[in-house]
Amino acid sequence: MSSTMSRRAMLRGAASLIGALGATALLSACGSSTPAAKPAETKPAEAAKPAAPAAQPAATTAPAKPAEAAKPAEAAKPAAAAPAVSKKIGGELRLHLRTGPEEDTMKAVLPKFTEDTGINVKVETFPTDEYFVKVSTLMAGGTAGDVMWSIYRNTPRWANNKVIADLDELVANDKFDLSQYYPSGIDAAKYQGKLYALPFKLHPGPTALYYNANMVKDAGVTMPDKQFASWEDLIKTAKTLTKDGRWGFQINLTPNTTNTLQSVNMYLRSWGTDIYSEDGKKSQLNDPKAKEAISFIYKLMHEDKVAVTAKDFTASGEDLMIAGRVAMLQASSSTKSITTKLAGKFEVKNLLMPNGPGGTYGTQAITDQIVMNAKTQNKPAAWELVKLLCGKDVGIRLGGGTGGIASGTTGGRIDVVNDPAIMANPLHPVFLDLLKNAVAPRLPANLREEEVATAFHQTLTPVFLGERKPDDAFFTELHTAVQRVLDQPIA
Amino acid sequence: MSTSSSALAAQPARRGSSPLTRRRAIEGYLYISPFLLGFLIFTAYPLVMSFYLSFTNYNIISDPVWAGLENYRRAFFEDDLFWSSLGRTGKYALWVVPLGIVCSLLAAMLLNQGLPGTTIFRTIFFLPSITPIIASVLIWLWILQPSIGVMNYLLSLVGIPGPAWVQSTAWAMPSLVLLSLWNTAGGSRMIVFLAGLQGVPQELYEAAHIDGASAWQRFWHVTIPMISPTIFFNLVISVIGALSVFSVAYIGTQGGPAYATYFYVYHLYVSAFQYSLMGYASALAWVFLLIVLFLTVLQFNLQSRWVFYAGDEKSGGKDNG
Repeated sequence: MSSTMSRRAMLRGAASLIGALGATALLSACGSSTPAAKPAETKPAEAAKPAAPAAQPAATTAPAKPAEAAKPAEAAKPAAAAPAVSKKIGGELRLHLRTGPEEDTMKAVLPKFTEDTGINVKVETFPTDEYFVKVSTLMAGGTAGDVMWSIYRNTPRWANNKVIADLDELVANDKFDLSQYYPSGIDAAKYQGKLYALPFKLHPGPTALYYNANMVKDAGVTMPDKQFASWEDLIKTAKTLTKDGRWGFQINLTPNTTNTLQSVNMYLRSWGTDIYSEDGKKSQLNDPKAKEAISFIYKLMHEDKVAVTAKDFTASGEDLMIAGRVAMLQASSSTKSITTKLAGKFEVKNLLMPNGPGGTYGTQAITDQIVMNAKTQNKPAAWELVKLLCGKDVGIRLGGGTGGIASGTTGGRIDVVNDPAIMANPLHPVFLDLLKNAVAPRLPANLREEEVATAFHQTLTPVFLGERKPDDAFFTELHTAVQRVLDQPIA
Repeated sequence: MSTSSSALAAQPARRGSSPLTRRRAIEGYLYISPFLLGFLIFTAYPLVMSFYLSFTNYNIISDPVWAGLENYRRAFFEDDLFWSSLGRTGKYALWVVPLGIVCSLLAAMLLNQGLPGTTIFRTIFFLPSITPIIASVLIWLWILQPSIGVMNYLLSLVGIPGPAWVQSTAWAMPSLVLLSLWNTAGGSRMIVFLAGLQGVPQELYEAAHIDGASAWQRFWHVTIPMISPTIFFNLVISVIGALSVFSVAYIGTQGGPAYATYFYVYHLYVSAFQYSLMGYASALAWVFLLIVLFLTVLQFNLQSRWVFYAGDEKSGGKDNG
């Protein structure tokens, strides 16, 4: 018998090996991923010795100023109901967040959290545009993380499908004080009366008016201290500032569909109405107030000709202001970070938007939230992480606007919004009243807000472009388009 | 002995019965197992699952719930966007397919002239087709920007006020047609045409020339029939590609403005990945498959009327040799 291998035998062996490897890979891939490892200890009642007096549980950690070491004597007063000892719970958690400044904030706070609690957190981030698709896919595969970022319009869908945990029992057992948060933020985190999230970030919608102070000064315009007395005054100022190829005013509208929904609804609320009825089952776009509000937007763009039209919408509402093509911009709290992008090009200040005929400026409590996977294997650890993410320290860091694309939107806690570090930003104080008065947004009863947003945006676009006037036929079409979605069964 | 061997020889061989035959069959399957596994896992299984899901309500995060023909009923009788997106896609295909074939053929004919620099021009024509679609769309969005874009600037130099292009309900579709033509006219379709043109026997042109045929007559009566199989191939591929239009709308216009570029596959994508209506999207996918299949079969059935295969008596292509 020959001691050398024939070509046929070699090929046969190689094919067998490849087939075996492929079958092994297939079997491995089909196996379910290991859920979050169970901790060695799961007794949250045990209080480990604190490492230092300043080592507090996440919810009560004093704001860590990067330039200073935390001194126990200077630590901010902890929230009354928070436990005063650190808990070595241990275990491993997976956290899903969006890529960007929120991810960067985690890198700053998680080491101390791990040191205090013994909980190792693996952060997995996804770009905003793909976030919900990826997390939903992970949920479908049973491999979603323990704690996740969410947003007010998505949390009810997850709650309805029972993929996230009801937090009421955890809050009660921990005697966690929800009054630390703005009531509108807590309302927005509830679904069918149960709490499914804590507010991570909160802003009142596009209810602030930012302006290019240099441009305004050059035009000889005097801006009010706090708020224009009326929309007519704003329009008059905008007309003065609309010249030399720039616009006086920009409504917070972009090609993004959900952004259109939020921004236009601000006007509807200013006029005393809303897109949806209170039960979320009916469109109110045939309401005379809704028609007036939308017609007013058309007037700003195509009759007064002071507002940017859809022809020139950009992906980010701030782009035109940064380029010096817009004097006044209606925007929300995230635009507080515009100064970092301007790098001293010009000065920006802000005011409240004027009240509409409804006597208000149409706030909506737009919340980013943190939720817990209903299937997490380590609920106590996950709860500690939720509290950290929605705690004061993280809330202040999020609102820091430290540069790059850092968002100016703060955490949803009252003590965060009033913190001296946040108040030091001159663009921030205008949001104190806005947040205090913010009202939770309504959602469609069938949880199809994305579909409503698309129908709404696409139908409105010809009006924004000036190709169509907002007449009765248009409003019938708009109302029908939205109502058709609302009539669908629950998603 | 000779009787038994001849008796054995007279018996017909039973296929697959001998150990050697079985072993060879197993070896064959082992050799193709990598492809087979991949096909089963990544093509066949998803295909079967999507068919099943098309009869369910499935939002990804919960288990599918059987819904029978509800998704198909909704598509055909309730969803306005189903018919409107289908119509829009058909309209897009009616523009892109003939224009694309004509442009590709023209480019191939230019390259077939054998002029100096042909290789360089062939590369230049081919470059857009290998440019990533995201880059192409973003560049064209800048070019077609109504206020500060290059296109409207150039038009303004000759006194023409440019339209709002992708920001206009009337011009958004033509803008995407233009973009698609730029991207595909000089691509593989042109290369296929070039190969077809180079396969036309020169004797036919010489014979036609001797008979006094003009350039147009030579083109119409010699070139076109001789490259008709190539045209047919490109037609089938182009129709499938045009009906599957998605990237340009997804990146460039998000289906807008006012649904002007809201194509069928975009509607399918949005239903699946934005609204999490996987069951409904699966039904849309199967309807789309049937439509494309029908059109492809139709084209194959009609080809005998106009496609000429050299040497095929049915098409009258008799060998003159």
